[in-house]
Amino acid sequence: MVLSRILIWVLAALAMGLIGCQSDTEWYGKDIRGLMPDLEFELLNAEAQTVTQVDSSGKINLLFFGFTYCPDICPTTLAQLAAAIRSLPESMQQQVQVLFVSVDPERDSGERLRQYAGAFGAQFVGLTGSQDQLQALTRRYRVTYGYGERDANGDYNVSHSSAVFAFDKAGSVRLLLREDLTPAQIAADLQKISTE
Amino acid sequence: MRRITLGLLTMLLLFGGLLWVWLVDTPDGLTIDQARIRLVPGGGPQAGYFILHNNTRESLHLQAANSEVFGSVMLHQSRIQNGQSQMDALDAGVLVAARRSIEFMPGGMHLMLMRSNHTLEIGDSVPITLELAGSDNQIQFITHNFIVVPLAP
Ligand SMILES: [Cu+2]
Repeated sequence: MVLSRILIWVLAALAMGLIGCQSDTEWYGKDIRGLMPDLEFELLNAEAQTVTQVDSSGKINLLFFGFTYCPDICPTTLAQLAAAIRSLPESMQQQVQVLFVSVDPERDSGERLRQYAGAFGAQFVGLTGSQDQLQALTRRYRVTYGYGERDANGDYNVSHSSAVFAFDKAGSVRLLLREDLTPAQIAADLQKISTE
Repeated sequence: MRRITLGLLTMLLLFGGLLWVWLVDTPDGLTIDQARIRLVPGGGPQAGYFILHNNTRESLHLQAANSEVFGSVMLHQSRIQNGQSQMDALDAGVLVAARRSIEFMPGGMHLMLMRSNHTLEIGDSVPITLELAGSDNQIQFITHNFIVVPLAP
């Protein structure tokens, strides 16, 4: 009895999967239209100037939270995005911007942030902000960050969201790109957003 | 006919090789492959990756690592849980079972390399020493040159 119910669910899921594949509204990322708010922020750039979504308008924006003392996961994600962008036609590459938001403003300011973000390509912008600004933004996208205990050297770890949020040129929220997508899949989604 | 002879020869070589590996601990009981540091700009920590082969018949325990070039070298593990990414120190070390390998790779285990005493550049070679304990708690050190490689694949 239970088994047959499970079977029905499995079949239904399969059928939905098949229909999904045929639909041209299918994305590799998760479609989060209506689930998350559109792009809006007030942060500081590497020159400590206030920047907002207005400074990023007219581009496909990818929003990612991290910190520069993160040598493993953050560069891996950013390198994936860089590879995706590089695989796009050249004219389209200029239309994409990655907003790397450091949630570790104590250590990540100025030159360090600029060098770290810039290493991935011209499309990568390093941003940070006051705790109030960062709290406002992370709350807006329902993600969190936190600091670990300081060790004897004063070093600490930072936990942060692994998600990448994608916004179209109008600043409307579109996709959540999980860390397991390949550059080719990310590129396909970006191309699709750009050619709508 | 020739194909059969070739096949036999291959099998003989393979079998002989296996027997050799089984009977004799290689002169280098421990070997390291693909030792690299992925250069992260900005002056913050770097991540070191490698594959460590334990060719001996004894299980070993990777306990620590150090380097003259870095003020601090830690064994770290990255993980993503409920969409939250985090690094943890592998305080208990890592077991390298007999005739097995472990891999430190992006998104998994890494050497957390902090406070280098000079600016690293692509192509640099940086010696790092791994510290392993055997069953009798005897410590072995293995030093290997890690090559600084670019970030982008
Ligand atoms: Cu680490």
